[in-house]
Amino acid sequence: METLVGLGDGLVAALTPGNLMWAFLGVVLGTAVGVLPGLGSAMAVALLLPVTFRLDPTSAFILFAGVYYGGMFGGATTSILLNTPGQASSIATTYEGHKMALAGRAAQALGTAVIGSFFASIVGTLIVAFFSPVMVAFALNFGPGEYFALTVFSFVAVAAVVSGSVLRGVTSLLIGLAIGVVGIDGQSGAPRFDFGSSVMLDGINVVIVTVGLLALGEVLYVVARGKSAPDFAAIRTGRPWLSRRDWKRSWGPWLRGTALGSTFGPIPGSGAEIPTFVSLGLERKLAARRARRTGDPAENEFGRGAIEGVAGPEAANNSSAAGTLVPLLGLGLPTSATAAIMLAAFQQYGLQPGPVLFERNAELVWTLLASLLIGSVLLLVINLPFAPLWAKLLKLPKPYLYGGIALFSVLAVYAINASVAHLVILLAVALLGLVMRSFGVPVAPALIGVVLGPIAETEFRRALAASSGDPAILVGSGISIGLYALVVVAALVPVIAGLRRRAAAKTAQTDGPEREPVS
Amino acid sequence: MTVNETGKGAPVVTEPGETTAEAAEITAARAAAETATPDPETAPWSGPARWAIPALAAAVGVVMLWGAFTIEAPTNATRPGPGFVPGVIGALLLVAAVSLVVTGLRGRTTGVSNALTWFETRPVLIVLAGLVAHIVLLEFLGWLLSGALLFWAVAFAFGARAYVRDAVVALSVSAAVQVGFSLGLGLNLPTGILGWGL
Amino acid sequence: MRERGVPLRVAGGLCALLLVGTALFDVRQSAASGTGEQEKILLIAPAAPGGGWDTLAREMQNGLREEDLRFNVEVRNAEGAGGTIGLAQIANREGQDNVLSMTGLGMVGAVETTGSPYTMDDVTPIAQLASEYLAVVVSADSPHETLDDLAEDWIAQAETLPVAGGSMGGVDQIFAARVAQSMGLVPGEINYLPYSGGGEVLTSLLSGTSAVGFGTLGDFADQAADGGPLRVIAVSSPERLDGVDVPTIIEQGYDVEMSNWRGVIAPPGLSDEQADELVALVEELRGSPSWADTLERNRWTDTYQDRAEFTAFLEEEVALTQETVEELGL
Repeated sequence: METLVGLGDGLVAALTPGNLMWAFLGVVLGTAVGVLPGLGSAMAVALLLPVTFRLDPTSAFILFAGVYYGGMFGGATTSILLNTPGQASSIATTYEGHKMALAGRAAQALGTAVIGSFFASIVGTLIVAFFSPVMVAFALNFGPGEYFALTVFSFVAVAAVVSGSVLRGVTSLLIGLAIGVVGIDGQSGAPRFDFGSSVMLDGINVVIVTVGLLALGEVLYVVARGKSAPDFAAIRTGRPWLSRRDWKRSWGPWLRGTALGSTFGPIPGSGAEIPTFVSLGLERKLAARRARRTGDPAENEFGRGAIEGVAGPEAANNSSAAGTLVPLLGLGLPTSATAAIMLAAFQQYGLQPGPVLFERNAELVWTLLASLLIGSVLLLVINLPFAPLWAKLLKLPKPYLYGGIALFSVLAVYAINASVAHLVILLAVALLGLVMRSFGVPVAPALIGVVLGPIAETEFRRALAASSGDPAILVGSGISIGLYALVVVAALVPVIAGLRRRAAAKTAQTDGPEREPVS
Repeated sequence: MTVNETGKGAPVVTEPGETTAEAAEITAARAAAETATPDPETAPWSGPARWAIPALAAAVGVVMLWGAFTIEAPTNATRPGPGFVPGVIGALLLVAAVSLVVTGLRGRTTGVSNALTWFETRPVLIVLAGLVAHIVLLEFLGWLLSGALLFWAVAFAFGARAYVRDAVVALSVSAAVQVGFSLGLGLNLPTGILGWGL
Repeated sequence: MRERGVPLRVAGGLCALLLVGTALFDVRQSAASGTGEQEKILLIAPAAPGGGWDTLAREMQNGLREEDLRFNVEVRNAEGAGGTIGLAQIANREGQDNVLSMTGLGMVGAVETTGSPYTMDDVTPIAQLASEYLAVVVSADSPHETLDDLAEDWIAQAETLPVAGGSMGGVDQIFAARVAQSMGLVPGEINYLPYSGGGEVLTSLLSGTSAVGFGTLGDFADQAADGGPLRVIAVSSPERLDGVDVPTIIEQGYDVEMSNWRGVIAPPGLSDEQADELVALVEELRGSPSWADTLERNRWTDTYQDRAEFTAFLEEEVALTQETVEELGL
């Protein structure tokens, strides 16, 4: 009840014409930078920081809330249309989203992404408002041993979902892990693989790897394929809106995605990537099961542009973005670049995140949460009508489309540190991306390796340091044992399924060819 | 170009609420998208290209192992030290490389393969040249000009041949970035020769 | 697109012209150096957005604009290697009198630990601006009430007791090492777990991973107030701080007094005149009401030192840090 009153007061404080204008500005700006490859909300928030010094806290929070959620909403657009996700959390969306776009269903993919994002951010924000203290207490159960278990779980989850060939997926993951160990080792201070260059001391920035592998690598791959690359101009777009069937197939994944995102989001450092991949894998499994049960292969569109594969991951990454606010507000723990800058901004207004925040700065916190709700609504209002318009992006001449991606890729990397050396690294990573794509090695596991590898290493070594070398700490709690159990199950299921398939195939050979598709 | 002829075309399904014509269109587009190339993530490699990925994995693995043995840990560093994880990654990469070679040799006879015959080298080199020129000239020419150059080069590689119009579009997009990010958001972009003489 | 009519093409051309024109205007303006209040000044923040140096740079940018001292202020982030990437950038701008870089104890430490080719001798010190004091914290249910309690346990399990703080070679580790040393421990042997910020140290303490935390007081003050989950057992200031009811380290019989100070440096090769002009600018900013507001908002202590004082202070700090880093074996 107290929560409701607080939230109501926050809404009253936030809902003024002036504040709505800031919200609108933030939302538009956030969506705009979210759409561009590599230019996430972190950059927009950093650049806006000095502007907000002159605003009152409420307006500033509303602006940030708009940018933060806007970046997440915008991330799906290029993933779906061009197969160039702007950030790691939109990779999972590309698998089915881009296939939908190629099949002329770009508007539907964007539509389900926007509505799913809206639903997930509203629910996610409300969960933060009502259950933050409980979730902080839960997050505090995570010591280094549990974190390490969590990263192992994510590696297995990603490897299981993304690749046609497990071996290639693992190779890709290992290459990503190798990229991740470059730079000064945080635990000992020793420089590793810097090859005498001071640029390499800080490691290879995740933005460079993201842009290089996903955006610029894609440009090179598409140009290398020449005429064999899909011709966007030939895609016939159908009707722009979601059909009743699309709705029916989307709401389940939205719910499940939101639940997954809200579970993983509050765990500091787990990032938004894990729930998106878990959601994609889950929806794929469920669709396969549905198809088997009903005997109707149309129930499982995975691999050909399944709307479930967009709805789930998009809901997951948005609710996880909301969940990220739990450690940020409850522990002062920024778990993403954007969160780090927002933390600095909060402190400007005397809002000191930590376990006592909700008692000390109740008014500001409620205003912030109310701003996030308003931002979500505005995002829906602005983005939904634009979904069919965005889909028209594919009608642009291909040379200009890819020229633009290349231009924004170098811009995103140059913006990190105004360093030309970073552009050289970008070129090398893009070439790696071209080689991997050309040989059919999935790039997503490599990116996950770069993002989560350093966390895995840090937590592993931190755990052993804290326990003075006793490895028992790695399996010292119910959480880590549970996660390892999930890993074992996840690893065994495909093996068992494979054995079964093989057995089934043997019997099928005697039964004649497979059922022809019904037309 | 190798074409996937496995014949597992999309089943035609009439979706409720959609006219048959629309559904047929969608299905046709889907089928076109599918058969355009074989799924590269499952197609085995053939020809000399078959050794590329195992070689890459092995090379990275060797670098990691070399690092594992040569990184100097500060005297009081806790164990496992900074070389431990690179060592594990290196060893696993070597295992992966060997496994890739073995599966590559065994999978030689199966159906469609990826011999990289579709790979068009010339346009890739043009894009790379555009990137290198952009990187080298960025601080000298400034963002506006070198950005336009990059855009133009990529457009050219993708087959744009209306040179004047391409140049106008390239300059406009580069200028739009300058206006939006430098003037609008205060990001610093290099000004280069355009800013000389002040 | 050939079917586009002539009017469309003209309109497109005009739009392009307008865009390019605006961009050229922006280019000319960013390149212009200007004079007087219009003179351009570049502030280098040798950290990522959101970090301490970034905050200082953005506060300065805001203050300079607000007080009408300089309008064309640009903040550039040059994160990396504990601040030495930013140090290299400023050291390479020999003779430029319109650039300032943020600096602080962290950079002095990083110069020693990262093997940076540039040191504080390669730049012109301008002024020290502000300080934050450091604190020794434990979780509220910890048995350690005073430094003596801590010393007893720490000496008994010197190599195993996990202590948390900021990154390797940073201010927090130097602080932890000095406290350990004052207790008679060998700084190089303590079990120091580096984290990437105050929030992570807090989590580490609350989840029971580490027993003691070392860090900036401001990061913990709110959590340590009545009923909070943390307890501050000592602060590193020379005397008790206003509004913080915690004894100093010196008061408890251990000889450690240090602060996480921040200041500004300029490129090498400046004439005294040029340097004095920059000092005057910083001094004017420091005396302004908006700076007072900045100090209060960020809970920084005003420890302003002019060029001469700061140069001497810097020399002392470098010597002291070299000594500690050597003992740490970094």
